[in-house]
Amino acid sequence: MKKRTIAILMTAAMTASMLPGTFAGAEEQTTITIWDTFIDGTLGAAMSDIVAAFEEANPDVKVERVPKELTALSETLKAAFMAGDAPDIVYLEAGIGTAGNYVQAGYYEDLTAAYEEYGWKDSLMSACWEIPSADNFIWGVGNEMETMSLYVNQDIFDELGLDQPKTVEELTADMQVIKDAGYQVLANTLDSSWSNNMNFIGTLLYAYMTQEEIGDVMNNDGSWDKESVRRAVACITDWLDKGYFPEHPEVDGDQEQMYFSGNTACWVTGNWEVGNITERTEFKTSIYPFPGSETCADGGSQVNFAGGAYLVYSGSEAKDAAYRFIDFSISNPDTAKTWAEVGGTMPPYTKEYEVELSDLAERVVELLGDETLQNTAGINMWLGTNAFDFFSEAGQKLAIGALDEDSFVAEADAAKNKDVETGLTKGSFKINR
Amino acid sequence: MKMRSQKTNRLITRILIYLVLILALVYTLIPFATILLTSFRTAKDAVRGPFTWPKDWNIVGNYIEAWEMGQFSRYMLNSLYMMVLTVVGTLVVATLAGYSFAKFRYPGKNAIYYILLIGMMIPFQSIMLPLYFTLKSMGLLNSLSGIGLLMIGTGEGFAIMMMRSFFIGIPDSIIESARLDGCSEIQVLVRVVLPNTFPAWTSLVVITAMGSWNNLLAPMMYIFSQDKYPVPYALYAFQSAHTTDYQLLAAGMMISIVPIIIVYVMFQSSFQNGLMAGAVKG
Amino acid sequence: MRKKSLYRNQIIMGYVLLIPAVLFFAVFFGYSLVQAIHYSMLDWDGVTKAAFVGLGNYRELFTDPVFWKAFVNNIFYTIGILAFGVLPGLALAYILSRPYIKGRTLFRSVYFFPRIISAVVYGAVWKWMYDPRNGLLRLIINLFGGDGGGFAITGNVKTAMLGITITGGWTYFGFCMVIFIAAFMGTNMELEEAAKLDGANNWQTFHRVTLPQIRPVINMVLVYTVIDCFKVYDLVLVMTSGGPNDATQIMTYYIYKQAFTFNRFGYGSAAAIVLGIFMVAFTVIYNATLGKEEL
Repeated sequence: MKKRTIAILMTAAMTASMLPGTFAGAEEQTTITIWDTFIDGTLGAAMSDIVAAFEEANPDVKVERVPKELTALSETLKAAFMAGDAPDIVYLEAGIGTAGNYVQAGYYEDLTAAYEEYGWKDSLMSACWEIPSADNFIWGVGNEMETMSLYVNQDIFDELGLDQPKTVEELTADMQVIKDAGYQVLANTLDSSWSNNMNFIGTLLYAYMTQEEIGDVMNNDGSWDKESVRRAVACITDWLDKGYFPEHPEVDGDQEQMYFSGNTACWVTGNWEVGNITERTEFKTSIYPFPGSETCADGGSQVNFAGGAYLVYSGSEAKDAAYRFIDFSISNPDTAKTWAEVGGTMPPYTKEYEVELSDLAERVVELLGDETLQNTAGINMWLGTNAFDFFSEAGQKLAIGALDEDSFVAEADAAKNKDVETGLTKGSFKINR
Repeated sequence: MKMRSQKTNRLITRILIYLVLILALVYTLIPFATILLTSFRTAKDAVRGPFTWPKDWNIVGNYIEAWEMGQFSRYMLNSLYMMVLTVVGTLVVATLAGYSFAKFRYPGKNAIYYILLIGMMIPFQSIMLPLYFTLKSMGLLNSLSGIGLLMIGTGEGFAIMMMRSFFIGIPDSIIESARLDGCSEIQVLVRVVLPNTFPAWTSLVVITAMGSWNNLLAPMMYIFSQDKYPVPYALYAFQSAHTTDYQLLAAGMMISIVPIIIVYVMFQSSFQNGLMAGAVKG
Repeated sequence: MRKKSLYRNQIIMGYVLLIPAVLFFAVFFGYSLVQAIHYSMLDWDGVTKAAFVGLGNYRELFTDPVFWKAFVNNIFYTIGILAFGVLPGLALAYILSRPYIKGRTLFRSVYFFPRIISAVVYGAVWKWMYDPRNGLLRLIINLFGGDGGGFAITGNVKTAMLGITITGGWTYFGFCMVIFIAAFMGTNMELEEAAKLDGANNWQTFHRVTLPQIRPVINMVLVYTVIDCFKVYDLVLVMTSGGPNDATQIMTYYIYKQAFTFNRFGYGSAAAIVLGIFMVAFTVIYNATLGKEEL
């Protein structure tokens, strides 16, 4: 009896001591939750890889990742904040229109100190903090660098003897040549999808507006009633009238299908298409910076986006772990490689890293790093909610003739004024400190 | 002479009727045929457009790819669980309540009926956010049971309305005579009323099941873990990740449709039996 | 003595039967609804502090042209569904409930298919069909020698709502048919026989004998249709997102946009409450007048 009891006790003790950390003063394990929008596909795979790598390098932190579809995430986030159980990190679009009111309500942490501590301003592209910030408050760390460019079917261009257009006016002339030769000119539709509208209009606007004018509207709530804006709208209307857009551009259409079929010469789109183009087309594609207008004093600007950004919940109890994760995920040559190769996106890491990219992807990196081009945050990134809504439909309205130059400018300004009232523009944003 | 023209009249009418039926059939099936056809095409071929005649065939490949990428097996189990819970719950709740409204008199009956109907009229969007807190306090967040239960609450309006109108159609005499025979209320319910409700039940089951299976909004809001997603949500996510892979999309759609069609066809036979029994009773 | 206790038993039973229904309703719906009413009187973005504005939101609603456009669109949609969905459903149900029709099971099963699939699926397919560039419609019209490319159904402000309605009707007629078949099966064939013997023709039999028997079901379907049509959401979202230029704006989408896109949670809730009140009012008025049943 006694022997048996002792044996049992000993076995129990041995087993217990073999359980990791039970008696040896276990290391405190912190868990951080992160909500992101990568429900599937390459970006989801990249994020999973990064999470796994982080956990391996940091055994004292466990990362729980919850991917959700964008609209669902925004809505549940609201409820989560109100209930007080928001995730430590949220990965979301972080323009002032989307995140502004949460920042004002105090739900997001000011990351200015973290930027200092980890030296992110040295290792990341400037868009990372320029976009998610206002009134000297930085609420996010941007990721997924994107840029809008002019993509052309080089085979068609070669056949028609066209060179890289250096100005919008030259492009317009080229378009007529393309149309006369019987090809489809543009693969862009101005339909019910907000991105199709905003990306296109934004790119055209930046081709006509000077940096000063852009800054005026972006940072100082300036008016949209400028000559350059009117010219941009006139250009779009002109292209509509001349039939450079696909038939019935106001009806939802598949831009990819049109371009990939090989029949369309031009496409105003962004580098997220590079993977698909490389995989699914058999003709040569060239990527040109979108040309500025002759009338634009500084030659126009290129539209850049940060596809997403990391935000940290102000009520999080694991902020340090959260910062370490963000740092690992973004400011690190290995993860940059993962983002680029597995995720198919452009990481904001500016220092050297080893990566194998397709030709088109390398070209994009070239464009993003080109100092002569004026890479500026596109309108998607800084418009207030009402303005965002206006621009999301403006293209379609132009296409069906429900808007003209005057009404466009008038409605844009009206929307902007509404946003100023609610304090959700870069100019009017104020935090109660 | 007269008989012959009567016969030809009847023949013509019959032919016309069948023509109409067949046209309606075609009208119904065209979209399905499109999806089916597209799901058999290769990627490059499908890009040409869903209404171009296919040049290249890829019969099984798309399905395998879609199934694996979409992890449909898991999601179907989820949907099934939710559906069974909602259907059973709704049947019970609606039958009892419908019977009460149709065959009993008591103060406040109409008021209560209308209040319950209000449940149908308010769109889900408006109670979405407060409901989050309710679910949270009951520990039903991120749970398929939670969604199944809430769908009983939001969907019962229609079910009750349907059962009630059905019960109204049952003659009072049957119930009265049972009562006079000395049956307790419960016995009346079980022995006399319930056996007659099968035709209505079959329709209700089918309708509730469909509503539950296709519900997109509630799971989107309240489910967080990937492995708990039901099918439509999985399909939606699938769509956003593969926007122009028409052939994959079509395969995914087919996968999500087929189980429901099977269930429906299965119910058709008992549906018919129930109807025959009901017709004979006339 | 016995009668009294029987009567009381019935009352108790009546209430008891209601318990599950009321319970589920209160927990999962009623409480949230009360909250929503509370929200509707606030000026609130769902995140920051709220300000009480009483009926201010409601006043603003009634002067918003987009709100009224949405309302009118819902009415248009409802009428369209009645025409493209309920009537064909009724007709088909009648035909299929006649004993001499062959292949009934096949027809019945197939007609119901559209209702089975979610709007995400059929909305997408119908969009393909309506596409003026490579859609089915264009194909068919071209076959007949017309210019199919001219018909931009979902892009044209005038036809967009119609296009959506036709698609909606396509899912609806099978659904109505199922309900009406159950109803027709419950009718008394003998009455019809008797009427025919008395010399009534088919239409008169249908109109005077069969139809009145399924009156309660017709009422139910009508009320349900109106309510369902005012709640339409997925379909519009997938096909046009309320455009072009608000041509297909509907109540639920309007509510969603106000509450979640513009962050005007109080205002959106107010719109939702107005919608609810309207539907309740409709049901009450309808049941009291046209839908009066002899109980």
